[in-house]
Amino acid sequence: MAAPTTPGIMGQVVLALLPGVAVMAHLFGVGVLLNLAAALGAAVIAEALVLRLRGQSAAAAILDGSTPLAATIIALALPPALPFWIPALAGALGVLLGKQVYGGLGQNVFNPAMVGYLAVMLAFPQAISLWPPPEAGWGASLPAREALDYFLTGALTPVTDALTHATPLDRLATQGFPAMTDGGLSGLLAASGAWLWLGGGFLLGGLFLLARQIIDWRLPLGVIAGTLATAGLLQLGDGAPLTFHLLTGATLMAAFFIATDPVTAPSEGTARLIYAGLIGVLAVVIRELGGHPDGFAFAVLMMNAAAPLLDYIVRRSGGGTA
Amino acid sequence: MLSAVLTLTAIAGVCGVGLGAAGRRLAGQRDPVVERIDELLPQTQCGQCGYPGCRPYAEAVAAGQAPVNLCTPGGNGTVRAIADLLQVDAEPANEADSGPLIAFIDESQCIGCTRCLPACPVDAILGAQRQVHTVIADECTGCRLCVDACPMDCIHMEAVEPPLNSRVRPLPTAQSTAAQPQLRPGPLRHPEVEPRRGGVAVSGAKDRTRGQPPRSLALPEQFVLPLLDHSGAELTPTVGVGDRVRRGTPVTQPGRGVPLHAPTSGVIAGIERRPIVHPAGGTITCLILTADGADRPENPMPTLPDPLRSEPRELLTRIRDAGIRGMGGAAFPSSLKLADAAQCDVDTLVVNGVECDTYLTCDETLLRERADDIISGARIAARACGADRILVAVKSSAPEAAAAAQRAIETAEADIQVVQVAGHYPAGNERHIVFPTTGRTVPPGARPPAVGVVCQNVSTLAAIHRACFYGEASIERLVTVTGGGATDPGNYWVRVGTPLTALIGNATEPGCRVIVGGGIMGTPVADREVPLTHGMNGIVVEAPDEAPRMEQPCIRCGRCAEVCPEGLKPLELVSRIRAGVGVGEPAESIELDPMRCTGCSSCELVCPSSVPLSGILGHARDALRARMREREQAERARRRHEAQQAREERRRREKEEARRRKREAMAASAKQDRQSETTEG
Ligand code: SF4
Ligand code: SF4
Ligand code: SF4
Repeated sequence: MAAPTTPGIMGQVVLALLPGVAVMAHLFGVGVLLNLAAALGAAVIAEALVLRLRGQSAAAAILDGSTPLAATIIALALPPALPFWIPALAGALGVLLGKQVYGGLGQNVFNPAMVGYLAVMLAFPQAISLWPPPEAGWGASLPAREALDYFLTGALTPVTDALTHATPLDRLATQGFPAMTDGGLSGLLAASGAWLWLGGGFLLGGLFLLARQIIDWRLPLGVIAGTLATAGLLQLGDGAPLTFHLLTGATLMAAFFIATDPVTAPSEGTARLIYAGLIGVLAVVIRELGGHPDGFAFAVLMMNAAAPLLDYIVRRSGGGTA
Repeated sequence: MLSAVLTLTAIAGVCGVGLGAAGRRLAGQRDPVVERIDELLPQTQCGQCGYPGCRPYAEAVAAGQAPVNLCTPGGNGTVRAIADLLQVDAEPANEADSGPLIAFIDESQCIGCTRCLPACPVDAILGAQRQVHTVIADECTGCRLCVDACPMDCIHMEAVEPPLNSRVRPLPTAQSTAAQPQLRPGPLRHPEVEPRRGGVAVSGAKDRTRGQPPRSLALPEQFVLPLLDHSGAELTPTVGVGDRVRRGTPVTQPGRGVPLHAPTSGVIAGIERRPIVHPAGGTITCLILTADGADRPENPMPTLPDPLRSEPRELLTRIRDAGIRGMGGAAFPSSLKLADAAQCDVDTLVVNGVECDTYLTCDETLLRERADDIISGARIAARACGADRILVAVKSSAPEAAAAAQRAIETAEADIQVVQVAGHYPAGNERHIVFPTTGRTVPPGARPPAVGVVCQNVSTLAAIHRACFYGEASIERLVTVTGGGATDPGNYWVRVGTPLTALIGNATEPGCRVIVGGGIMGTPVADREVPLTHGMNGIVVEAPDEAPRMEQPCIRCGRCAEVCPEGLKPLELVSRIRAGVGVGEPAESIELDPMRCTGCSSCELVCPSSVPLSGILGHARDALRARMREREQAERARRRHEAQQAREERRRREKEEARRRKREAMAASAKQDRQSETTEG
């Protein structure tokens, strides 16, 4: 096999995200592509500006592929219908606050995509909670015209009323699982069915990356194990079922695409397992017990901060993979 | 709202704990400042700083009473080191930094006045009344104190290049490698690379030179022989300019290692500094030999009657006198290596025919062409070091070489086994060949004799055979000339001292490198006039598509740590070294010890960002070695200075004592005189 290069690695990760992008476009319409364009454009412009200011070659840094990757993850994490400034801000802030302030690729402590996502999530909580109902058919729930209008103007039209749809995770956060099942489990699964498709898209890409040895198996395994273990524990109370936690929201995307960012993960094998496991644990705890619909962004950033410490502890205790 | 506040508080908390732990860990224990400054000073005790010695100056700096840039002998390096330590801005030293200086006494003018002797604070000048004085170069600290003491003005300071083992190769950066791609350290670009745990599956370009019979190279007109000891010290020539030599005439004293021999007959045309192959570049004193074209041989050393029954001592002496050095790359004297193995009571000799480099085929070719010599040399070497088992290790992908070795063993009717080694790069590394052949594991940081094994390269063994059976000195070796840019790739018999131009010509592709020593671990050379030496097994002329890619930022993917056969963590090491953390200091943990890096470059082969890892690690090794040497020198200067002071002190006291005794004696006699006067009176 040819030796991978850094742009090659980043490119393959973006490639592996494409099934997810496709499923999302299929379920929610062109909004996700508009988000992607806005986030990518803003991120590249922001990066070029900063590199110019720092007196470095902008072309080489942009071609390393890490910025398109971050922009794609941001676009997939955001709701697929937003006014353009929100994804643009997420992309720009992700690159600036998440990467360049630390000195560029390889130096950053926090996952740039999650920094960007979280920044807009805290700044525009209202807009970020609006998801159109998933409906197969490339824009069945939100036609392209309306999506574009909303994207450009941010004005709510009658059609965009459709956006007030709550995701299963929203309902989990606000109502708790028992209330959700009032309409019967089958109703819930019908609503979640679309989300399962999305999970499938990410799983496909993740398996591709594992097969190409682009990502370390410990990281997705840890995230999934942490998620399942915590969800199982919470089920002793009135938590949601395991499959629900595994297949909804950002679980699989986080497991295969976010936690696996090598720059912000620990480098020791054991530390990686702990790191990924705790991401899963924290995310489920925030989902079930906190006020936010999904906890992966918080969980990832918290564990990013702890990554050097985990490496240090593992090495200290002689558990380094020597 | 509340949850957002709580979550952010939690994040802040986690960050805080992390920072706190990091802060505590990085704070470390600090020695008292005076000690640390004193340690950085050269201990010349010359007083040029205006203080009566290094220690007083260190105290003044620590107390903030003196600027950090007063020590002239220490040069800008010392100023920077002190400034770093105290975290102040480094103003350059008072004078332009001219590198190390040494005092020289013009012996034609020295009148033997002895006035320079007490001026030297470290007793580095030898001489006696009315005799020509001279400076011990190794002990001179370059303080200039003797210059003014000399009434004849016959002492002057000369710049010296530091010895090879204390030169530090520059730290490669993204900018430096982009600006000078032809000097970028590191392996060629390999199309097929797969990381494995503790190694790399890599396929290379052996086919370009494989399977052809070796060719001979016409003798060049001029040879260049670096006067270099294995330890990096200079060898002393036994011939002078104008002397005639023949092929095989010893031209140096053995020194601590082995002698060097003239590669052909001719006249010594000069003794001058010439560039050589070294990661840090630089020049070294070389003998220049103009060939007369007749290639007249020196009388061979007397043949040993039956080398396979000779005394080990006798064999070791012959191996030394024939100037045999390790031809696998290290060029370490074989006699020393075998003698050391004998001391370690090794029981197994491994014949290293595993050429794990991806470009070289010289060992493989030699096995096919001269298997009989190699097997015979192995039996001699085993006898010399007391090993009673011989194993021939050959790469499983070179079956012809294995078959040739097998045939030679059968012809010799020797009890030797051929082991085919399948492992990944760097399977041919001495430390890593021991396990697949003998099943023994060489502990981290140790060498094979620690587990009773000594390894010898096939070319070295062939040379040992010729030295013992025919009395021939080691002046020739088989060299692979290859690479996409080589006009005539193949394996050549080349005399030691041949300039590379004679082998590869002068045609260059801009930005492409000429690499000596193979496609992975080789050293790029700036100047093609550099001579070939015993350890150089290959010369690779790079084509544009073989040049390494531009460096990208490290993405901490961990591949380098996965493949490092020594269990190091290149990614952590490299970020520290580039940040200047701990460079020149002993490592804090095994996996961060650059001294354990063998330079195999496995890490760099798999690095997706093409970070020049091996060059960065090499810089750290050089820096640490140089710093140790500096410390050692400072320590020696301090001891010599203290000894001198103690001697002066003793002399002063003795003088005083004598004076006192004299006074007392005089007083006593005066008293007696008075007494006798009174009695008389
Ligand atoms: S070497 Fe000389 S100038 Fe430097 S600190 Fe010592 S005494 Fe002062
Ligand atoms: S060059 Fe050094 S650090 Fe890199 S793989 Fe080899 S031994 Fe390990
Ligand atoms: S130095 Fe290269 S191989 Fe090592 S972690 Fe960084 S990018 Fe990966």
